Amino acid sequence: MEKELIDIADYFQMKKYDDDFINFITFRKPTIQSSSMEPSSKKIFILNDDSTDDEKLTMFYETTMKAKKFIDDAMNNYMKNKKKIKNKNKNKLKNKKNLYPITLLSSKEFLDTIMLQLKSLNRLVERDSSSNWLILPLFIVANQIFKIFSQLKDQVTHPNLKFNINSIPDCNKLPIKTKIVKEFLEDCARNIHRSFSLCLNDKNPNLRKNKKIGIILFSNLEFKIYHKLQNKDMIKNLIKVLNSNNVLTQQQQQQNAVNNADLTTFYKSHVVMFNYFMGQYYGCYESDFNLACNYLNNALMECPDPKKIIITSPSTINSIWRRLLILLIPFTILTRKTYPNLDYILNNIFINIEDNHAKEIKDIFHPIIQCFKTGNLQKFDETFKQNEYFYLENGIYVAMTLIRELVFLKLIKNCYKIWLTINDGKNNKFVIPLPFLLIGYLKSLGAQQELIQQIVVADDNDSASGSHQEQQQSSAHPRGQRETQTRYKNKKQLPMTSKETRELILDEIECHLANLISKNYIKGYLSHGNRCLVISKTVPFPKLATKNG
Amino acid sequence: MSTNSTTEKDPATNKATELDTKPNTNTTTTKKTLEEDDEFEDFPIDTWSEKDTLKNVDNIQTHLWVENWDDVEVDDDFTNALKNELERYKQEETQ
Repeated sequence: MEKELIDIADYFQMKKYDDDFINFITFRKPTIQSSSMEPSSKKIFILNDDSTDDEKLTMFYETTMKAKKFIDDAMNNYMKNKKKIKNKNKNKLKNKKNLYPITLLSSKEFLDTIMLQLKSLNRLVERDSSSNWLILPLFIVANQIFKIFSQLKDQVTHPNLKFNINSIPDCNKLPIKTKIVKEFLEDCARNIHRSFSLCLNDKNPNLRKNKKIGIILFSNLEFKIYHKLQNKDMIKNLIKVLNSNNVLTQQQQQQNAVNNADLTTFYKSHVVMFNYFMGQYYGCYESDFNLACNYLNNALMECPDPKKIIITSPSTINSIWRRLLILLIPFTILTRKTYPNLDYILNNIFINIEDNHAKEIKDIFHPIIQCFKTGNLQKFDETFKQNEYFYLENGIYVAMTLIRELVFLKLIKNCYKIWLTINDGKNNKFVIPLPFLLIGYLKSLGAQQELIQQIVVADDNDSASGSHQEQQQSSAHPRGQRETQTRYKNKKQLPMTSKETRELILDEIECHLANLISKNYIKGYLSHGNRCLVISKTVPFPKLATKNG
Repeated sequence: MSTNSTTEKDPATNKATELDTKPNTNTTTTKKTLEEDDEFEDFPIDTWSEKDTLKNVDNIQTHLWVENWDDVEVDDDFTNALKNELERYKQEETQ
């Protein structure tokens, strides 16, 4: 086999990379196809003797070569062992996620080496003040070490992950091991942040050569690593930096100025991801649903149209739709008062309607949308309870709780419509007695007719059966909506006299209505003394649904 | 108090598990596969042209989002039951 020598120093002279350079910096992927057993290339990467004086370049070259050797050895060993066991147990070895062998990650020397590789490349980028040719290679290097360190974090409990660090006694006890891994990841974050800062602070007036073009790439990487570290404060700091630099506008300007294919090849997917992370931050951490909605909608709009682009990995893209929609749907309901057309989404956005990601979106949001349209509080509360963990895991718990208010509003509107048909032509049709809304409210919470009757027509002397028992059980009045609700669902559990219950629930309704009036969702006022809601004769319920984007 | 609320919970959760186990036996497996990807995955392709984005699908926003919430009327069991209940009350009041 003929070998070709490739001098890495040449690239730094020419300030240009090609496929060979990318191959040089890229580690062998942990795939278990047999083809990767073959020597990775006929090409041999060298550094000419003149460059040995260049400390930074030498360091980068050497760490890269060393890391590659580590990976090659580990992968080859892994393959050999795998082949032996393969015949015995095929299923166990299914490596879906393509992970590096755990022995590789146990080597502190390897981990230090890849960290040094990133550090030395950062220094080379810093030194080169007049061009941005190294930004994409830097991103590739940073991204691959991020992936290795996040695999390390995911597998920290793996029994075969054993460090051999003399200076740290008991370094394989889980708490210590976890700490070491966390420190590695934090160090990795610091170095990636360094890359980010190099991009952010480039003052080069020539936009074609300005490193700012890498900001989005490295921001996304920072978002990912802070999520991995579960460090909300770092995300907050990052957003602060991004906002104060007006990054998005600048990026757009630069994007327009740069026509070469260099970094733009990475562009769209990163724009989507960046908008997603921004939206996630504002919606899930800051409860600024409006801003979140804008970002997430932008993210979705920048996505490829599955009808036009053939996507090789449908399940990956479906998982991306799922992530986007889980946040975008509740935030849109909340801020725009519009709801998604699930049929359209399932048939036109998702690839393969039978996909689990698509099914999940339907399962989670279909019942909620129904309640949003009908004002069915009981169904809403039930669904909420069933999916509580899902909401928490995905950061939409707060948003979902706030949607309840809109379900209540829809209920009031529905009651009002019925009120109008009953009182058609009468003068007082703009004065709605609260006891009328009380019936609707109780019905919506799933109360039986018998109970509704009992509460609604209760007079002062009434004492409901079973109420005495209840009073013994709870001396205090029940607090909290859910509690009250479960209480008056069942006749036998009435905590107070029917009259008391009625007054309590009327107060509750007044509170909800007051909130809706203060938000301008209802035009009108409450008369507490007369227990009625007086609504505007012209526009009692202003139109709330607004267009997205 | 606490016993009350737990007994209230039980029927609901039982109902849910009954439903889950019967028709879709694969829900548990669904959950598992979906939990795996706890992070935003990289796109299988890096970029695409502006004209192939969803933004450029005709009337995409109107396809995606329904704006009739203010006036929409759903003809379902709940809505009918609500109507009946409220009308009945009114009749009783006038008698």
